[in-house]
Amino acid sequence: MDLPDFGRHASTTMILGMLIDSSDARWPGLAAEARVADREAIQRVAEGDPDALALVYDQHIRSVFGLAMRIMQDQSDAEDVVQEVFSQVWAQATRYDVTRGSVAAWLLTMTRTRAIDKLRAERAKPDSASLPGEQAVVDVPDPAVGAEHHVLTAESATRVRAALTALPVPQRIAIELAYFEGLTQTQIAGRLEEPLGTVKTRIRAGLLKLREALHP
Amino acid sequence: MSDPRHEPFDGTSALYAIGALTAAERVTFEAHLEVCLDCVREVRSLLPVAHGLAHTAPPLDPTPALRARVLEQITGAIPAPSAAGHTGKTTPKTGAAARDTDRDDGGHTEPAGGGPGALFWLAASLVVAAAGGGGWYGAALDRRIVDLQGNVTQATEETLRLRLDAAEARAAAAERDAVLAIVTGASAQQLTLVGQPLAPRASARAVWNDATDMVFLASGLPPLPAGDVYQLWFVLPNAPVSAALLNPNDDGSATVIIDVPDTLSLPTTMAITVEPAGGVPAPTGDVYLLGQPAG
Repeated sequence: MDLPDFGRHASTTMILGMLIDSSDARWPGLAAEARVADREAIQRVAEGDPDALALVYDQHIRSVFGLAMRIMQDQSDAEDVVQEVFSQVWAQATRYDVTRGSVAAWLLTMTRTRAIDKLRAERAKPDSASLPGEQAVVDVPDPAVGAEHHVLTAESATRVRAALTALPVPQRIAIELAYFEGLTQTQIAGRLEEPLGTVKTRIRAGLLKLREALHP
Repeated sequence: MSDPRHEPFDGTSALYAIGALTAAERVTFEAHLEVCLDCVREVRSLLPVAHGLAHTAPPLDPTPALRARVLEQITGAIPAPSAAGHTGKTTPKTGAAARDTDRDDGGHTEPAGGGPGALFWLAASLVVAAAGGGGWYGAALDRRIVDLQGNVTQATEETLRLRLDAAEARAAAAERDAVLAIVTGASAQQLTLVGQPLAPRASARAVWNDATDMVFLASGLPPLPAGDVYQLWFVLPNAPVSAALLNPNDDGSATVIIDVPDTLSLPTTMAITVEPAGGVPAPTGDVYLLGQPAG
């Protein structure tokens, strides 16, 4: 029997609730002080203070480099990504919008963007072992690499890590292939030799569990 | 009776949020977002989750040399072209000046006032160009590319946010219009449902007209046990027919537009029961609300 999904007809109240939803409000506490220091540093970077850039670098390089290495799997490539990310910080600190998220999240979003761009460009080279359909996604920005930099600071990082580890392995693998390798659903299905529907279901189920873990 | 427009996109919100759609798939899904509040809501809720995955990469220390290289290159200590015979580096410019210069002319440093004359610089630039200045110019272009890539990222981010806002607004407006059209129709009829002992404060109204759409509005619904869902039924003489699943808001209210089967003639008795998530083909749980046609 077909059942209409009630959630598809969300009320205006729910919509307003979504619009005023503030991720920042969910993570008060210890990180708040660090976030203020971060924002002050970015402000100084925007004014052209090289020491402030060094400060931002020292504060965040481990997570930025860690993410770059996780995606690139190569030290030299990861270092290139780091270089590009901090170049972008230097060039665009004036445009950093404090209302949109933490500096850490901003940096990590840029890191993933740069790294996935490189990875996809590399795969698209004629002499590389490219995957079917890869050409179609090269240089096309997608939500996961260019979206709102929501706050997920150190406080929540531990929770995300634990939640990801706790996922059933097939869900975790599908999610990691999408996020850390930048593969599309079709490419993931090809890599795992699973039907598209299965991949879709696994990614959705996994993300819903992560969401649950983050916002119990 | 589920929305046929949504079915092909079931689960696509997650793929969209994590960036696992091709460009073509993304365009198609974004068109769907314009008419599907549920998908907009899911994308919004999953985007922060997808972004949170960045934190699952283990932090790593790079070599100290990277720090020197990165900061030196960025903050204006531009290495002189090695092939030109220089071994030292130019004096670092102050930040803002360096960036402005980089943006305006691709990275050229201006001779300081009172320094060597124009002929010297012309000669020097010829030497540089002849002896590997191309590499240096390439680096300047690389920096420009990084800058432009940043613009693209930022524009993409802003576009996505606005697109979700617009899609949400349009989907909400479309739903409001649909509800209004039914409720204000000249031939609108209604059936009131009354809370039963398990939900004494609950009430609901079903409004329909000659068309096949029905609006169902409920309020005062008690919070559901985890894993359960409210299910609405048309209680027909031979067997109840499922009308909709309801997941109330925090305040216990719920609104749903129901596509009434052509074969069903209204009014009919309606009831709400509590059932396992996903609903059941025939009611198994307690009745929370009940409405019977007059007479």
